[in-house]
Amino acid sequence: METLLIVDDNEINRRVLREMLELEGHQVVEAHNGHEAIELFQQREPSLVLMDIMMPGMDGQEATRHIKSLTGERHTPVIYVTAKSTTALPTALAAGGDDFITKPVDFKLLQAKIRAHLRVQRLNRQLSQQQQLMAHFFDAALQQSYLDPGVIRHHMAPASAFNGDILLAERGPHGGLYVLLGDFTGHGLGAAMGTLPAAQVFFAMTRKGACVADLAREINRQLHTLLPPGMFLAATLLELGPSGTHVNLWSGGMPRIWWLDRDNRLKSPLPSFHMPLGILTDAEFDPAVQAYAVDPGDRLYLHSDGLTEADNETGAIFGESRLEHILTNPVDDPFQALLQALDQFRGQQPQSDDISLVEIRCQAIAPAEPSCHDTGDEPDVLPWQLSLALDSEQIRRFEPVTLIGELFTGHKCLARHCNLIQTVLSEIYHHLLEHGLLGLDARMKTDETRFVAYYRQREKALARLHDVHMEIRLALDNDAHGKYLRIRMQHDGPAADAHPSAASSEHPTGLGLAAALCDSLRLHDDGRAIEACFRL
Amino acid sequence: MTIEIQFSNQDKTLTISIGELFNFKLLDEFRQAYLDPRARQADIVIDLRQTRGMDSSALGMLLNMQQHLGRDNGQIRIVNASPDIKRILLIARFDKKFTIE
Repeated sequence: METLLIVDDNEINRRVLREMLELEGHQVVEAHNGHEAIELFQQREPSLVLMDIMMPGMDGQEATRHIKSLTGERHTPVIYVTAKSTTALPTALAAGGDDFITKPVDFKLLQAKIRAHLRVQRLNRQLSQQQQLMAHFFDAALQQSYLDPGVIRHHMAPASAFNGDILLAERGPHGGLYVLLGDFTGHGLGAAMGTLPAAQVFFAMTRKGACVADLAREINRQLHTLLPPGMFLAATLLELGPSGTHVNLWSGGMPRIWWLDRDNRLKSPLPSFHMPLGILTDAEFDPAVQAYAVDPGDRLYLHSDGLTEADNETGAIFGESRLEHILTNPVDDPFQALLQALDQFRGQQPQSDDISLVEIRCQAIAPAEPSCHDTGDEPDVLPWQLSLALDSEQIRRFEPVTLIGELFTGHKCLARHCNLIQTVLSEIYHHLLEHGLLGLDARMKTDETRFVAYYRQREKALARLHDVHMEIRLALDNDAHGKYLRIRMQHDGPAADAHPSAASSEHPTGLGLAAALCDSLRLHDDGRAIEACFRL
Repeated sequence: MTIEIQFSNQDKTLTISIGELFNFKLLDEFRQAYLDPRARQADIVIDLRQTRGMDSSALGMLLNMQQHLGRDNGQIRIVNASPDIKRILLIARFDKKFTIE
């Protein structure tokens, strides 16, 4: 049941309308004048208003203007009920009224009009509910961005409820910052649709530490598949390295980036070299990235073309030369100065395109804190042992260290250390294999010209290997002091030089590296066996 | 692909991106990357963003590259090393020879 508001100073008129509307099954509220109408409108939120124009006090036109300003995005039809088609009607409709009917009221006609307007009103309500739902998706997708104001400042002003400009920012797994500023063709909901797939690819890939070229390529591939022809994303993608001294940039179809030093002097404009994302097929796509060395305190200003193409009431546009003038003339804060200048320039002119401005301050950026800390308070582990006995054939064919490493990734207590454990295992194994079983001279590796020859020899010697064995034993152990991985490897080949590689300071020995990563590391049995203990 | 190379800034920068494991299995591919004639003049960047593990053979490969190209200490940059990889590089005192970021 819909609630309708009747506004008329004449009681008989109100009663006649009320009876007719109640017969139609509506609920009715009545107001005697404009003021009361506004009050009741706010209290009862009617679906439709029947408004007399000529009333003492606030007239119907004024009340309508008020009511329309209250409704905002919500559409509530106002139908004027007027004595005759007065000269006031055009201005009354311009004040926000949606329709009119003349007195004496033709009830059949009024009923039809009310039904038609309620249909529109319902559609409008559905649309706005769906918009809210959409807005929720967009907010959720974009809120993941890392927008620390000390690093990145932004001004994003959409021309309508949905922004066709898109700003995404995220820290890399080893620190540093990724930023995407993009501008979809057009504006409004249609333009904003591409935001979701672009954001999804952006966050998934930056969290893995992808490089800018791969990121650009993947977003292009996704958008090329999803966007209708004629729609694309002009975008700047950049990565500021963890130390804040290098920027990798891929930019397609965007205005140039302005690069200022800490004293607001222009270093260089960084132009866009590519086609926007979503136009080219994967095979045609050019991922070439520009790399720039920046200094701490340098700033990069990125913007969408909505900024330079913003117009004022005389039809003039803001323009790039104005932008350059403001940025390069020393002011305290170019970001604020630019926004103020834009505001002054535009005046009351409604915005015709989405406007975005982003400032990035070059600096070292630490990685995000891991969301859940693995503390040492894990339950006791069940000790276990693993042993492998390899014959010559298996030594030739397999890389046992890599295979063992794969086992560890599923083991909670080892997975955290699996990369370093793998290095330790690899050093010990290759030491025993290369200098023990294969009899290679470690000193070859310290000489650039013989380095490659060493590995060629290794290949040949490995192919000839026969009648020897290698045993690998690993044991997970815990005591009051902690958890350990005990490693023992041994072979039954000839004894090796006890000090096989006179450690040169230039070239770190593999075994030296393993020893530095372990709690202890010892050679036994004339260099045929190595025991090490890695603290977990 | 375990090694990717990319020239940027009109061939002034060569980025060599290493795959998950950096060891002697990549020897030939790695040498191919810096034996490219354009590498002679280029700034070299070793990108380890995908690299989970490395061993001393990889350290040797890096030193050989530095010698072969005749670069001064600190001229070649190693970027995006994970904490584990950084630890290995620091044990080997590679911070004296390379710029590690």
